[in-house]
Amino acid sequence: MTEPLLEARDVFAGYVADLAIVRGASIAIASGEVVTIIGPNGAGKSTFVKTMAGLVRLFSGAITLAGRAIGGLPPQDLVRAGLGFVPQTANVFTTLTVHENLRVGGHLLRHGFAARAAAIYSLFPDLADRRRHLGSQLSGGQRQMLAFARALIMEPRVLMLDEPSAGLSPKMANMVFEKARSLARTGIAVLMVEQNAKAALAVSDRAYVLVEGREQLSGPADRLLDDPAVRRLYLGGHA
Amino acid sequence: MNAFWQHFADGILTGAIIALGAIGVSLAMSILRFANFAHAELLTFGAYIALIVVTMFGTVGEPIGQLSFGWTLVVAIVPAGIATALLALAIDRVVYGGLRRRNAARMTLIFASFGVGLVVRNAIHMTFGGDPEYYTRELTIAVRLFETIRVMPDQIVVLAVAVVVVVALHLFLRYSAIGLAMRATAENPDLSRINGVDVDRIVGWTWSIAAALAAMAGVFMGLTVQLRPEMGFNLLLSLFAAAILGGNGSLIGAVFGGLLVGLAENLSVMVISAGYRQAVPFVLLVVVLYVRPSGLFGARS
Amino acid sequence: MTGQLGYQVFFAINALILAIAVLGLNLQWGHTGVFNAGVAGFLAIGGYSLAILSGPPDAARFGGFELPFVVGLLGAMAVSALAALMVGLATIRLREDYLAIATFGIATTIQLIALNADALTGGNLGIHGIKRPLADLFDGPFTYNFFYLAVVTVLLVAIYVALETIVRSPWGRVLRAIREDEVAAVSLGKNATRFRLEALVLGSALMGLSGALYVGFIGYVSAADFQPIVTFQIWTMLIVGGSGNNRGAILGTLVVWALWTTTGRLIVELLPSRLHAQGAAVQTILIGLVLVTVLMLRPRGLIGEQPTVSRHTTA
Repeated sequence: MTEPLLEARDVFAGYVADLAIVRGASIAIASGEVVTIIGPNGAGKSTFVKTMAGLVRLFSGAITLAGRAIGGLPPQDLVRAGLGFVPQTANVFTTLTVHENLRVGGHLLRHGFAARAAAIYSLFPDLADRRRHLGSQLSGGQRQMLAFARALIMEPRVLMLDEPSAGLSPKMANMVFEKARSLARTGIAVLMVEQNAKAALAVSDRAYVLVEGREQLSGPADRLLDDPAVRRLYLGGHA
Repeated sequence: MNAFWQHFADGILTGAIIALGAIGVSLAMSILRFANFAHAELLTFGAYIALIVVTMFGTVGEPIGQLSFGWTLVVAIVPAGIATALLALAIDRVVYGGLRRRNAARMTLIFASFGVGLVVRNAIHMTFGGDPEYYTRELTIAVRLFETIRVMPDQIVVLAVAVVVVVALHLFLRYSAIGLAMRATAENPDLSRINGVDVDRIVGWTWSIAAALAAMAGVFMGLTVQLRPEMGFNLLLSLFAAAILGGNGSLIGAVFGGLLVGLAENLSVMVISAGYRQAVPFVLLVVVLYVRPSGLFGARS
Repeated sequence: MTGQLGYQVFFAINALILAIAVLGLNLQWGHTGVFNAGVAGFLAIGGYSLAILSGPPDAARFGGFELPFVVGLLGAMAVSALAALMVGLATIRLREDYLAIATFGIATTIQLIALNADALTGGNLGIHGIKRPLADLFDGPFTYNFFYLAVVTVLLVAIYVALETIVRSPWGRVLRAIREDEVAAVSLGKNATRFRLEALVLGSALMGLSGALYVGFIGYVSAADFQPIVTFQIWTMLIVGGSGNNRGAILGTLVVWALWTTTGRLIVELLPSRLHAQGAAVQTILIGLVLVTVLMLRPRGLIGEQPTVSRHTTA
């Protein structure tokens, strides 16, 4: 693995004081990589990425982005530092238009929004046709694309996706994963949390298995796909 | 019939003032996420600050045209708005901010606002006494509209200014980056945060705008009625009714809600004793909430 | 000496009467999470009901039936309960902050009726000359007040015991479950709206009783006694004592009422009379500051709620 771009070490985090949900999790991801975190329900996967996005309180541990300590910074500073995050649910503003969603995404830009929006619309032609539609008028797949687009306006170096395929048809889910893969080709580090382990691992370079708030296993995605324990635990239903 | 149109015109004028106050209540409900029972005191506070300014100048200025007041009062709105915004920000910092950080329940914030309102109201009472005050005792001559409706020149100016302010605020919320961030925060604070919106700053903007509008409404009320320590508190139900009728967080809704409440209050005196006028917004509110819980302009949930 | 003692009896009577209303509010808010910002309205309904049922007749007014005091009290409770039922049916499904505004509006409306419906409430003048129960048996107000204190004490104790029994019953546990997590309680098959309504009605009946006992004690009723500040005082008593705890509710009543009356007396004694209006404002500000400070620094009040439900922590 090359020099990690985003690194988290021994992270303890949670919503309520003294009640850590993430308990000593560590992770590292380099530019251009797709890395997936899988694990059972309640393992703290979502809480872990939300901690890195600045939404959940970090109790202890270190988080660095390109060597700079970013743990505990408010979300707006993390966005400035190059961290993008797409939450699982409620990830677009339904009362705002598509274009306004992108504008909120570019809230921190002082200039250059128009050019970036044009670039994003060429990347997501579906959205370009609907720029005056409200978020609430979009289909599930379109919303997911808008959520991606919104996060990409800031040209993040790391994009974190919380269960990007949740609620989508298998076809849409594959499209979302392909999108993640193609974003990584542009040099973005893509970190996903996924329940749909098999499909996610298929497009990932590496993966972590998170259990009870810390990683239990990690390695190249294809090796984990073949790991009997992983197969039994997380891929069983889909095998 | 003439009486009807007279009450109608009065209703529009009261409604405009209620609307200015209700916009703040509505913004607080959608962005700060609680029913601020102390909002009415911001109206009172703003009105009295303007009174201090006018008293310092010793006059409301040479009356402009047929109006009862001059430029001094117009200018006094600025420090009144700023001082009221600063009061709101200070209260937020001392009281509500701490409660928010503790993740206090919404009802705790409502209680606290009850207490804050009581403190501010009585502090004003203590400072200025309970007797009514006036910016000016200048008499003005009513203007006749359509030959039958009598309107004071002051009231026409108040209505015009209210319209301009509402349009300006609408444009601000619709097109400016801060306005957009306010609408985004109203819908989903966490999602706004991860887009780089500094929610604390948006909270500050919300208080400032709400308080400045409240101060303006207070000055208008002081100008067209009188100043009393309870002037805002007596309007509280009207403000809430207007904000909720309009639908949580909707600017246009709050304006229509304000007009509706103003009309209902003024027209009601044709059928019931004026003593019950203060209960009219409440009855209207209960009926509408019963039929349509999300308000007239709010999204159906 | 007699003056001091007399004052203390007077203080205690008022405090214990208020404590009954605070217990009613505790049933609504502390145990069930139903917000009632219209406490003064229900006190007023109780007070006026007693005056109409047990007060003296007056040709200009409905009522004045001179019914026995006990009938007046029961009637006051019944009318308050009925009013709460009507109010509740219209509003109990509302979001909690809308419910707060709606109940605040109810109190305002009741206040307006008290002031304006002369044929029912005596309007601005109120209703005077309500005979105090069994007053003939005592030789003066001093001894009579001891008797009234005893009556109020017995009632308060009986209500306390009844409420303690009720909140520990299966019904009371459902109320708390609704307060903690309405969705979960509903999913267990409990009709949350109905339980909330029951708590609102029962609590309001106690408020009505409190209002009636107050009017019965002072012998007249007027709208000035049921201003919004009364709602606020009663809320402060509950929050200071500890919402969800009946003993806390009573303790909070005593503490806040002592603070209120002491500051009131100090103002009268220390300030020249031209400053009394300002002094009253200071008195109110103090109560406001107490409430806000307790909410910020000691949100559970003097005596927090005893944990009756085990709290599970899940990852």
